[in-house]
Amino acid sequence: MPDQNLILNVRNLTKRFPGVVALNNVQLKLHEGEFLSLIGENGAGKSTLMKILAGVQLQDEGTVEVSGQTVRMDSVKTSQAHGVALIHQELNLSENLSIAANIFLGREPTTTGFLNKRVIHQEASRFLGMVGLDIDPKTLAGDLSIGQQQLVEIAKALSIDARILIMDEPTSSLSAGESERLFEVIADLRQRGVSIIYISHRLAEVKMLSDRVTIFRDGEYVGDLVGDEITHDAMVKHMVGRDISQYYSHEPNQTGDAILEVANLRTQANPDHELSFKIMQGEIVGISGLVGAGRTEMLDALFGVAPAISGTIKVQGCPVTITSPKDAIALGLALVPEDRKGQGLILPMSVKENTSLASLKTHAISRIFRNSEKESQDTDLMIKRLRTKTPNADQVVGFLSGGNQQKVVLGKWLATDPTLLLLDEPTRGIDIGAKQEIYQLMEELAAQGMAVLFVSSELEEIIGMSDRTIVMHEGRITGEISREDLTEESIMHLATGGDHQ
Amino acid sequence: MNKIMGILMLLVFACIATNILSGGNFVIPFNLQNLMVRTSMFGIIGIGVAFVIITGGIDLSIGSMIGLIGCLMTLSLMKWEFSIATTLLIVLVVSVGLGVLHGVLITKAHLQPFVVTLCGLLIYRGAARWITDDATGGFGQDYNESLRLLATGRPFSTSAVLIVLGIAAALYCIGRISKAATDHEQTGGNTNGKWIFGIVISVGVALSGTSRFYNFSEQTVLNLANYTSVEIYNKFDSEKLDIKTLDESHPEKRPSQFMPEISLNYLGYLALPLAIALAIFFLQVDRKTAGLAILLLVSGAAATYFSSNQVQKLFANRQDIGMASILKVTLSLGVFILGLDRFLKGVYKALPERRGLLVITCVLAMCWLVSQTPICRVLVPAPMIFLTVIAIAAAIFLNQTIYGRYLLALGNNETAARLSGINTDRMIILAYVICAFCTAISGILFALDGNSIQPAGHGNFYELYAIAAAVLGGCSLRGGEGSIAGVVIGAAVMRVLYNSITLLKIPTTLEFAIIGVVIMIGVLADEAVKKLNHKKRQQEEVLRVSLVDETNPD
Repeated sequence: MPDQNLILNVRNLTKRFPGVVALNNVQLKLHEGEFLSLIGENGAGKSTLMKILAGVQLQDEGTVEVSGQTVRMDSVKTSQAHGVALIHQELNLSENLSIAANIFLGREPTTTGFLNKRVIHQEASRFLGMVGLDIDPKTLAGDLSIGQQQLVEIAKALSIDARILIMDEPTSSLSAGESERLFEVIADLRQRGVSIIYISHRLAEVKMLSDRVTIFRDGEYVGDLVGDEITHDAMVKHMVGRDISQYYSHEPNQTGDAILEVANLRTQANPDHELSFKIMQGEIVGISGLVGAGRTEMLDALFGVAPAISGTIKVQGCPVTITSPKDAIALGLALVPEDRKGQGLILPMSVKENTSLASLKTHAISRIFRNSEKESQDTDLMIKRLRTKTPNADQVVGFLSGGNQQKVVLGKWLATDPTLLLLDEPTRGIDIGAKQEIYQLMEELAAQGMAVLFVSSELEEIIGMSDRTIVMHEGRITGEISREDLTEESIMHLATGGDHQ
Repeated sequence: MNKIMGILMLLVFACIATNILSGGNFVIPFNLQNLMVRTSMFGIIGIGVAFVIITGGIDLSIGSMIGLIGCLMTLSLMKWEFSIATTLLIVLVVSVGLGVLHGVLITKAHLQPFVVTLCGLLIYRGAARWITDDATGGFGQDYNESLRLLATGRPFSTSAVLIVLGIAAALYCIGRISKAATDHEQTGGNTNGKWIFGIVISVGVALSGTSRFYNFSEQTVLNLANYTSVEIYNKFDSEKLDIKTLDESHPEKRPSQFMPEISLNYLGYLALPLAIALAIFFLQVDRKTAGLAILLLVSGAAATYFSSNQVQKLFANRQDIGMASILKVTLSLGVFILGLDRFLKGVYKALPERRGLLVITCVLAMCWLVSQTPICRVLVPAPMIFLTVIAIAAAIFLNQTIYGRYLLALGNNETAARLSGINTDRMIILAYVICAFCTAISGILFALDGNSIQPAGHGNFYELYAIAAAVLGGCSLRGGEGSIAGVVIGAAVMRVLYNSITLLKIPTTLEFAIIGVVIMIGVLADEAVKKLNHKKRQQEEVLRVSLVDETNPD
């Protein structure tokens, strides 16, 4: 009975990828004009579900019903025809085309085969007005701010007469003002009867905006929260499925001598600021900050990916110059990069070939020939040590799940026997089980005397794992917080540019 | 492996089809020798460009560089009258220098490989024409007995190759037996059967090679040949053929020169019972796949036999063979090759414990195939030795050294390779230098072989043949993929195709079009197979990983 105005009903949906069940028998309901938030940790299956709804992928099992009618979402066109529009987290505008051209891309109004520019611009202006964007539709999309681009995406969704608008982390790269603006537009859309599925990690936003919250965990439907049930604690509990104290079990180690000392380091990305800090043996140091705070750039400078412009780096007390990753590796550094697939792995190659890549040279016979035996030994050792789930060492890494891929990257670096491990977002996009194993590994390594420096955007992870936290804001270090003083507030204070208390 | 298998099948197909359709003209010694020379020279540049393609680059300047090298050589030797050593040194230094230049422009100046080498194509051609005043050059007769022997020399006979191959294979088998003995002392010699059999076959091959040097009487040879398909008498002339022309240095041993063929033919007969045995095993394991493969094989073979008989009749009556016979032969042979491919892959997969037997059967079948050609009476051309040495060195470099692995890694993902501590710029430069070096070697051979170098035309389009060979041989232009064996076979396929156009009297104006179409079909088929395998594999992965999950819970 209560489901009369049900506009979207997803039932028993299952989607498998090689090595992982992304969605296992999940459900999702959306009513007309409703604001539904979909939350869950990375790897919970939110994006996969959205892709299925948008017709980018096809489910293995289960049904999708739009307004009571079962639809096979076999292409983006079908999905759009049923009024579903997806706005990706990474915006999909062609920067070299105008706003109007972007809005009508692929559906350009024509007169006898020629583009009808006048109609295009008129219509585009109308849709831009609906999202409250007062800009000439001839402007190039690349000249807009991220927030404006987001609104253009919404205008585009309106232009296909979308009744269901799916937004994937729309505020992740917006300023507070831009977010406000977006919320206003969303409220206006709801007035027009558009239903929203909103995916976000920002629980405060979710709490403020949602009529209902659906929670996924590890590819499974966990439950719904409605009205007053939507609290921060309830959402976290559902998402994580256990208490946070259980989740992180870090005990600080006895720290030794300084492994890395950095003084007045100026990176290529932020040449105006000088960075100074040290890391001791056996210490786990977190680097926190907002997106664009220059954390990755600092690791890149340390590892020689984008060599520092000036400043001194001392490794185990000796001043060194690092101009390439090769130098850094020779000094005992290792970097697990942020972009696993783009920078960490050679996807078409096997687990073995990836694991041995950074240490091939050390074990080479007569400095030229590969030592296949050592390669196999190292790989088997790493598979065992990291509990990588792979059928065998010759498995192509592209077929492994995110968590296991990350373990292969870690294995590659552990095989070089480093003294300082740099981790850039080590648990991004991997499942909870693998996350915990990586935390455990960080513990073990620190206990063995390795120094670990990790960048993370998840505050919980920073608080749970680090002995000491360095906080960055717009290219400079705004402060260091010791384990005792570590709270979300103290981090956010510094991360948003506040002074050191 | 799969890819090399496919291109090998294509080569076998092209050879047999050309031979049938040309009424046996394909396998005459002169043609085979010529084919080996051309394959060698194009194979060398194919190997060179393969290294560049593996890094995700391309080299379009190869043909022009070959032209420039030819011109430099004639100038250096004939006009400036430098010594042979100086000349070769100049050529090597110039080409390697240009290779370094390409690499530096691409890695340090961040230009695109296509653009850099396109400019190279234009510049080197222009330079070659300018330094020679566009005058055709050559080496005259002075170097016929010295430098030109590098390209035109025929240092030893294929029988010697048979001996070496046989001994090497035998030693390998002995090595495996002794290794097995030390590895599993408990399990006993149960698995050694195939290796012992292997030794017997290898020794047989080696002995076939040596048989050429014994003094058999004409009667013995004729008697032995009676039970084989080896033809001592020429099909076209009524006289005894070839004997006079080919073994003049040992006139007294003339009849013996047929002995390797005859003995290989006898060895080859062994393949039939083994193949039947394999077929029976295969049928027992997987009736459906095996049945289809065998059906294809048998029907294809029968159809090929009848259609080739028809063609022969047409030849005997000096009639035009026509399009219909060409189609008949290619189709029936195609069915046969398809069956063969399915049979080999099926047995390999379904009967892992019989793989040794499969290899032996294939070797014996090859012996039989070889015995159907006069290849045992052919002398090995010198460029073939260059190709062999370069191919072995390149394969070892690519597969056994850390630098080979680096090249493959950076071809797939340059950023990840650099972040793993690989000096990617230096590796890319190295790839262009290897390519330039190979171009230099084959450039020298091309110049010496032709002995007439037109600055405007010498080497034109050779880069495209090289790239085509690499692509046919399994290199992906996206980088990160490639095998040396594949490239060499690819070059051979290209030459056989080219040869067939001449032999089948297809208008040479169609030459490029035909080669283009064949490459297109090859690459399309490859893509289709890849997609299919990928799908199959993905399904298997899901299954396998879910199994791992169950047996290995965290």
